[in-house]
Amino acid sequence: MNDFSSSNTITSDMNRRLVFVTILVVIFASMVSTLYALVEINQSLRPELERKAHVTANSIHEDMNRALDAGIPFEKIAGVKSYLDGIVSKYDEFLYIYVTTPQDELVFRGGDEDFVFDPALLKNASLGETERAGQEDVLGHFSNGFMQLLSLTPFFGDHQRDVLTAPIELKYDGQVYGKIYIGLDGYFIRGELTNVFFDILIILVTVVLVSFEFILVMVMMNVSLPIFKVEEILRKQSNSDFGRISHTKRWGDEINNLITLLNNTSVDLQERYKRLHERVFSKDAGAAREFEKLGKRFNLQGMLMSSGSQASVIDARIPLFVFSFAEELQKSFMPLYVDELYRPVLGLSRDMIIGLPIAIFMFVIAAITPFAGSWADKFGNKRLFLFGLFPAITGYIGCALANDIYDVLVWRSSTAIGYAIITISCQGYIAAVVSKENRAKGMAVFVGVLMSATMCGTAIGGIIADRIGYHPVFFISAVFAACAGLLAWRMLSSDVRDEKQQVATEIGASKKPSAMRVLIKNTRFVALVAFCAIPTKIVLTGFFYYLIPLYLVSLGTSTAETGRIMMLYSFIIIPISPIAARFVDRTQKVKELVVFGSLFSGLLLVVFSYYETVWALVAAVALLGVAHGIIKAPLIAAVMEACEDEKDVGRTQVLGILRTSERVGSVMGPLLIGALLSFTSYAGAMGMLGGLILVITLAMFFIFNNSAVKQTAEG
Amino acid sequence: MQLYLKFLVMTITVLTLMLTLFVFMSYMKYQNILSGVVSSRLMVVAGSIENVVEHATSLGLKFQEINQLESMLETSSKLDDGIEEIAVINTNGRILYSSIKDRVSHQMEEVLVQNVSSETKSQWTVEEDDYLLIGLNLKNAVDLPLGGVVIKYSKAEYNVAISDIFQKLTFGAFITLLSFAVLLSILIKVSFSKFHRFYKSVYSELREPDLPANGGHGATYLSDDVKKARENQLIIMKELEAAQNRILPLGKGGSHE
Repeated sequence: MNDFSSSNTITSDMNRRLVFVTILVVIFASMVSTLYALVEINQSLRPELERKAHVTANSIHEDMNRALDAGIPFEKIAGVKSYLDGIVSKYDEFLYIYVTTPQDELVFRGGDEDFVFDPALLKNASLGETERAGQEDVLGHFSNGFMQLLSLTPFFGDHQRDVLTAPIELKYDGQVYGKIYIGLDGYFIRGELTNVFFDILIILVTVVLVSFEFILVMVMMNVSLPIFKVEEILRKQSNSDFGRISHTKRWGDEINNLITLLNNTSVDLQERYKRLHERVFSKDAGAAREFEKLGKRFNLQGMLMSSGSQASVIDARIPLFVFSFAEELQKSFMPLYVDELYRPVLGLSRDMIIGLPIAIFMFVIAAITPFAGSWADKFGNKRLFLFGLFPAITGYIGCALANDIYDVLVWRSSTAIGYAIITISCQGYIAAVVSKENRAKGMAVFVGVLMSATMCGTAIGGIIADRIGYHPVFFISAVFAACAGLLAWRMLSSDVRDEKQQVATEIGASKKPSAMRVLIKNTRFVALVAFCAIPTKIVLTGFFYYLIPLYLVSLGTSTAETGRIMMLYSFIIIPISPIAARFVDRTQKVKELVVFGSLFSGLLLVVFSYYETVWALVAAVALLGVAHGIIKAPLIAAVMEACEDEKDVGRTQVLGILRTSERVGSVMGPLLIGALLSFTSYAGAMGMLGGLILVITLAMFFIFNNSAVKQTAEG
Repeated sequence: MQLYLKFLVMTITVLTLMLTLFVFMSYMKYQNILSGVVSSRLMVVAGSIENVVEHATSLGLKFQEINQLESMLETSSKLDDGIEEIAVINTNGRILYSSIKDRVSHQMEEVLVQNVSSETKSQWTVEEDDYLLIGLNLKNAVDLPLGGVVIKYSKAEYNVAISDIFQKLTFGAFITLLSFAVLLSILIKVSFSKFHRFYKSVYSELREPDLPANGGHGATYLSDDVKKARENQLIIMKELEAAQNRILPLGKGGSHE
């Protein structure tokens, strides 16, 4: 027997193999390219740093000559040490500066005194330049660059920190009276390359995530859908339906050949039937009617009766990814863009105005989401997605052409309307296509796509904006959003509707109580929202977005390092979320996992608040990613499960109210942490927030426990 | 086109797109780094001019009376081949001293004036298509803005470095693509073998249902459906034949269907 047991196993097997092979190859190819790029960048940067050292040396030379102009002998120039010290302290890449006689005897020095002056080393520096000029073949260039790169890593090389530059001769009236040597800091070069490495690593992760999404579409279009079609035609034929399909590919692949083969059988039978029918009809109309019964029995006159659309989560995945990617492109520079267009508004401080577009964006999303939820149930998710594109794209174009802060506020609000509509339509689509048993897995796709898009969009947007400026990035976003629309139009199925809401619509809109009124009476829904959804967002915005950057900077990390540490969160959620979702779908222990995730997040905040180090915060961020990865998808599944019996409220409406409540948590987070910081330290605020989460989670646990006991008693 | 080939073409397309994205992003990153390094190098030059101005003003000299500045700008402009002009301007953007003498008393562009008169910035960089403009704002002893040192740097020189790195990255990516395309073709061929067996089984079941064990390819989960569909097909053919014989008996018209 062949290994495959259904079209699903074929699809998942092909997906697994192709994703594995492609990702593996993309990762290795990217790693090779990364190494190559690092070697080249390192080799190209070194001479630039040396040029800076030479410019500095020449500038010192000019100053020295001015002293000689004034008639002061070279050795007697006063204050040279403090002058050189000042230069070294000003530029991080310099460790020390030596001013020597033409015979390399030290006259003045500045900078770090720990480095012993060694005339032999000075000779090597002079020789280095002539040696370098000889090496030009490609392999030699790469291998030298690679060894140079290797020597910068902590595991290889001689770890000599200082790198002496070739000397600059001091001349006055055509006579050489001394030399200047500058010691470059090898650690500085290593630090610069580490920054480049991490930036390239982020590009690599982005590339892998994008290729992952691409492969999924490829498998869906070339394997999943055609194989479903084969299965469908075969099942129909085995159930006596020999209707033909409208279109077969002439030069198809294996699966399309199967479709053609099956269809040809139908076409052949239909042709025979048709010819016979025409002949019978021309002779005896009564006999022809009798003959038609055979045609009806085997559907020999018409097209294949399709059993309906094969809508899947992947339909929404790609358009959502592309749209979210478009939206995230501006995240990295939005405050800087607003700062560029700054103008006083209503007496607000500059910092407040810079934060205003983000706040308004969040507010509009929170305000629109509940309405968007009911629109999705009314108009269908596909149509709503396409509607949402209008305000979104208008917003991007408006922002690109903005002249002042008011323009930005208006157009960001417009984009927020589109964002709210599109995300809820995708979430609603996923909720409608997944079965109850696969709900968490479906929601994990939603969470994962948003996280991947956040990582890719923010990283790429930042780099592009650095090069081409802020305005064009908005145009790029508009183009990507339009592509998302095109993909949604091609991929989303119009037939997907939430059957729960259809039942509710049949009851009649006028008789329906408002969704909020119904849900507020649902204890489990309220408990999940109040004790899990909102606190999770409080931790996210309060601790992660607000406290962590401040705390890390206070511990001495740079902005770039802080950004990288924060990226860990999304990076961890992407793989954890589907694993947690699969566990939930297999065991149906939704509530248990939500409680566990919440307890874990509270506990880690308490525990790590005792270790006031950067590494403790790195661990806290990573583990918070694990905790939220565990909670995110199961929470949505748990909320939907809690509202499953509410006949008057559609799933998308439930999701809309959940998302709005989460926004409330997002607003509360920074306010709560701000209040805590007014009387305690960063670590204190972290610990107190953790304690609060623990208490809240225990309350949620008891409510679930009581309702379970009640249900057992009633049952 | 075989599915294997289709996927091979697509995965190579993915790899090409990814490597292109990679080269493009690395190239942009390098441009950013290089412009940072060049800016910091030029800041050294601007810094030494700033020192002279600071010392002179602290000695009570007026900004416009620092005689040595003129010659200093001229020598400093020779410190780096890319420097086109070094100018010292006041907060209104008027050039007080310049390494190009004809430019003295000219007005600087508005965007530079805004940066020079900014109270929050001490140093800044403006990138134009052909030039990099580096500025260091000068302040007097009581921290009031005096003007600034502006260095106009031709990007022609650093464009050479940038295009060089671009060529190298593209070359590297091309070699990587070629090598990994070969690897991909082997891996995808191996990955598709299971699917290919499945396809052959179904195909031979449909084409040659009478062959023992379906031509040696083994049964599939679709075998029962194939069998039933085949049976239905035979039933239809028999019924069509029967109907024809019943309604249009031989000799009463037409050829046998």
